[in-house]
Amino acid sequence: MKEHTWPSRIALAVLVIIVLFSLVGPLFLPWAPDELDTPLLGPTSDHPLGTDDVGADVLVTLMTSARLSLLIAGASSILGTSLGTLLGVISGYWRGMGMVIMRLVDIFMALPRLPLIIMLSAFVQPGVGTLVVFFVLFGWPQTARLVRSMTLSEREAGYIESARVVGARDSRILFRHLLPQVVPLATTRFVLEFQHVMIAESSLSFLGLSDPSVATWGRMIHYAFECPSLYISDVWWRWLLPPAAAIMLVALSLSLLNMQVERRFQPWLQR
Amino acid sequence: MRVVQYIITVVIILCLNFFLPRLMPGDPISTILNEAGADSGLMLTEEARAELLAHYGLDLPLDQQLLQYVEQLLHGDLGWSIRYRAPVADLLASRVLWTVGLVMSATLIAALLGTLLGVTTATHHGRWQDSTTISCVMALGSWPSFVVGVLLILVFAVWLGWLPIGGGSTSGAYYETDFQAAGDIIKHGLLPCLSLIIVSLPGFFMVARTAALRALQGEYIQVARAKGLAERRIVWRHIFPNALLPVVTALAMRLGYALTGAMAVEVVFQYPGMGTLIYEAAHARDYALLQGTFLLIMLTVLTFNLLAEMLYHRLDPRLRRS
Amino acid sequence: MRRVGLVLLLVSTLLLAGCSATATPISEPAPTETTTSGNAEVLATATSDSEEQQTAEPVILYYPGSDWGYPSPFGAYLRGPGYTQMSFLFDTLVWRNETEEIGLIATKWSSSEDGLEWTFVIRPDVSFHDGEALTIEDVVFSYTFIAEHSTEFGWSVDLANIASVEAVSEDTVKFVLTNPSPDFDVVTAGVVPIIPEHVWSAVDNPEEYREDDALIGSGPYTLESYSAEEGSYVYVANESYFWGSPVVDRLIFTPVQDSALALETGTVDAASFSGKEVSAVNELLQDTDRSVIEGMDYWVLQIVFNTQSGVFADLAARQTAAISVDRQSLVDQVAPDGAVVANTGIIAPNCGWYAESENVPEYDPDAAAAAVQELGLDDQEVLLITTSTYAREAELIKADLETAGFAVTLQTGDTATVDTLLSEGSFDLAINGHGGNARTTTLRVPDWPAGIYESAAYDELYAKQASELDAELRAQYVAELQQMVTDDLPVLTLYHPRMWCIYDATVFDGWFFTEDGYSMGIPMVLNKMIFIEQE
Repeated sequence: MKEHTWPSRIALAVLVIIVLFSLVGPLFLPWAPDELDTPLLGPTSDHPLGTDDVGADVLVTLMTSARLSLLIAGASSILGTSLGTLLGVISGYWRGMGMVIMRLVDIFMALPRLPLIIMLSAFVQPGVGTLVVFFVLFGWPQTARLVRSMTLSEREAGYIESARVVGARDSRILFRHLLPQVVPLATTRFVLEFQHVMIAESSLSFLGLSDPSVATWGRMIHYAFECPSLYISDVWWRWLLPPAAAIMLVALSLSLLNMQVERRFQPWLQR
Repeated sequence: MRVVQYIITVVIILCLNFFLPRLMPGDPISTILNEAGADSGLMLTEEARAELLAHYGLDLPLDQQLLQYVEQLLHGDLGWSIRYRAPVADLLASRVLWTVGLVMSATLIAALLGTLLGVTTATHHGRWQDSTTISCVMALGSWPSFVVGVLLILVFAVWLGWLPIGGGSTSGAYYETDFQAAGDIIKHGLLPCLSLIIVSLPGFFMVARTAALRALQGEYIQVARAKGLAERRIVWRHIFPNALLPVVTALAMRLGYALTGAMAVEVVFQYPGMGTLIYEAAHARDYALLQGTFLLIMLTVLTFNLLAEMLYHRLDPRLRRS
Repeated sequence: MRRVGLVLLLVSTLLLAGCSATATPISEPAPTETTTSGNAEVLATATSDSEEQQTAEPVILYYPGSDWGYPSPFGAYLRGPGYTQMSFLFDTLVWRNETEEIGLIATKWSSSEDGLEWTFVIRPDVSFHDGEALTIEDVVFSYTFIAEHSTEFGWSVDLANIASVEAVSEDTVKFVLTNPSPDFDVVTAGVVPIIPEHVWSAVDNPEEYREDDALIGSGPYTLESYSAEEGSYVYVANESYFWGSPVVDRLIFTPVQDSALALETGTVDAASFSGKEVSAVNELLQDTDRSVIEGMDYWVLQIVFNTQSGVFADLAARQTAAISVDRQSLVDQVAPDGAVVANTGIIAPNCGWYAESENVPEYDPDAAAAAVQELGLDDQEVLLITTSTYAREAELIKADLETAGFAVTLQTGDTATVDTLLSEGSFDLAINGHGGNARTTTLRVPDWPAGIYESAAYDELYAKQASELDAELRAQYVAELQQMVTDDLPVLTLYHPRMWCIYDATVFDGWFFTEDGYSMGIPMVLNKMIFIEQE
């Protein structure tokens, strides 16, 4: 059967455009992020999306908020997936240590992730660093479990044994043979984590549970939602909708990309 | 082994539940008094505050508070909410049904719809309808739930004026029959429910689609086709049950999160459920209420995880045999 | 397949219907007619009999609500709105109408020369909702019982100051105080609700007492239903109220997430807005069918200085910071036309105790920059803390201070965190809201000056005014206190929010903001007197 690849291509293009926008977009606009005009201006040629409740340009805020949104999701998912992959491979390779790590995984997996993060956040109003720590702390176990079971079956494959027999060191087997095998799996985990953290973070910000100085799309939505004239003026479409659409685009692109990755590595993943 | 693990988890949860609020700065008394707002009109002297702390047992040493906490739990007493001036258990009881009703309806409908769509697209695998449906479902489901809620309010409550803007039922209404009462409640639940369906559809859709695709490649399907069975029959008799299996497991897991799953949506619609309760308790830093809520939530999640595990073992013929 | 779907739908319907039990009204009069309020169809009823109904349509008023607690004197949340809900059911001896003190249960009252003895004569024709007459014994009982249970009552009324309360005749009660009080009638008799002895005398734990008779008062309304989880209250006019039945027959508080949206969709007939909500007010008033009244809040947003340690222990540093901040542009930025820049004496200009301070620090960035250099403040780290509610103001203030040359670190936390930092003194500057009532207690509050500001002269003057019987002298002391705040700058006040009530005049148009607030100085628009035609 022929596979359609156009969705994933578009997805990739969208992601690249969003990243570019967040980094260089503000350079092309006449307004600096901290420059304030009259609050709650409607769209004008100066401010294509108008201004927010303190008079900051909504379009500029949209671009600059992308940075932290993507940074938090990116850092959490890279760290979480790497940690999970590493621990997964290790625990699959050394059985003894594996048991210990897996018990830890079991306990972590039994803890409800989002409710726990919500509760922790309710108390500490996490900043960027703390948020990343939370997401990594509760994000690695899923990856570790999947990677471990894959490593276990990989171990059974003949080539690891042969490598051992010819006297390869453990580290060499780990990094040269096992790790490359689990990369596809780790990649899909990374994409899913990215998506999860992105949405979880925006929910936390929306509920006002994270540090208000963490300027993300979720925070933009929070302020827009708090705006008393949200429903009865143009605020909803020019201030609330843009960051929401941005979140949607990123999440959607990641889903589509993930499907492509899964398809590419299907032989591994279906085992 | 499994049981031991669950017990350990419960103990961890209990400890977290007790210590976390107390390690944080501030106490509920001062929070109540200083809550940001323009209407407080309340002043309290240091002595009065100390008296209040003593009244609620918050001045005891930590170990005694813990002992008290465990003892109360064993009696089924979740404590007294200082902010709401009501027993925590009552507060939870009055909210749980709302949320469970809302999330259950939404999840069941989403699961059913997702499975149907998933199976249908899987049988059209590789054609343009498939890719388009996937993209559409994903695009719809990738919006944050709270924004979906806002947009639904705009369309159905503001522009069309068909449905109420929020709340759980019409305040001060009289109902002639129970059907009228149910109708009023359903009318208020429609929009939040729809928001939840939209955002949880893609999950079920993908799970069902993958399972259906796998089933389509199974040998028995080839055999069935060779026997000349109608394609419709093959789909509904053989593919659909196969696609349903992982959906049911996913459903059980999802229902475990029922109590928190609708938090943001409930806030948007001012729905009288657990979500708004947690939101308010978190902001007012009401120890007893937070503890009670999270205990309930964690235990529900654990129970449903266990249930999902058992369900999976029962339903999956391969696992059952071994 | 379709059958499965139907079953699932049915299941969910049943589940939802299961909740209905919690939403059923407490009492169920027979439904008589159907009216439509906005998009919400409401089956409404008149509490009066059917003949009367033909002559006058019952007035039903919807107002935005949320849960403010069980509206008994011991169950309502300890905030203005909580007290307000309770006040519909329970009357006090004294109350306030739009402009002045009036007697509710009391008809006249007086104090002795020394302010130690207060006597109140009560109205003869007052009865509780259950028909029992309200007697002088109930008044004595209320004060004794609430004093015994002052912790559960929660409202900070100085009941400990009452040495004795006794009925001197069938309609007169006499209070003897320990310390003289110039305004016992306002701060105590205007706050303590009168509760029926025949209900409460048997109650040991009033905070947990939730039987139906816990809500029997003598106020202008009775409660028909209350749903805590939904935050809805339905009040019905008390037809045997001594000033006649209130003009609004059914007063319904319905849960609303966004007041402007609720007004726009007709879910409510009136709603109030304040401060930053001015943007919604402007949008709403474009529809000329709506009416509006305007008021001002007694509440003030302020910068608190840590006068005990760090950079701002020095008055010159505080003065420098004060002239670095452009308060007018702050207001223009966060709430244009939604707030007024505060005079720096804490008390709002619309309050009776207000006295304009002199030598208010004026914004002068150049002088500020010079002073920062001169005082060597530019190499010191300044920690600015605030709650997320004022994060926007904090950003602007931080920018102003940085322009002047201060090195500012901004830290935002939740209310509890900020309060802890405040009481520990782990900050240099804090932005928080304060006050909210129209009493002199606004000048003496727990989070300020205690712990953060110490001034023996100030405390002494405060104590002096609290027991000063001469009104003019007392006003003078209060004015001096305000000037002391302006001069010594323990706090720099920023702005007082304006308030609006927007309403549909065809439903009800008697709205007013109470001068100096009702009860303990609550500035809200929901003074029950708006519904009463006073004789």
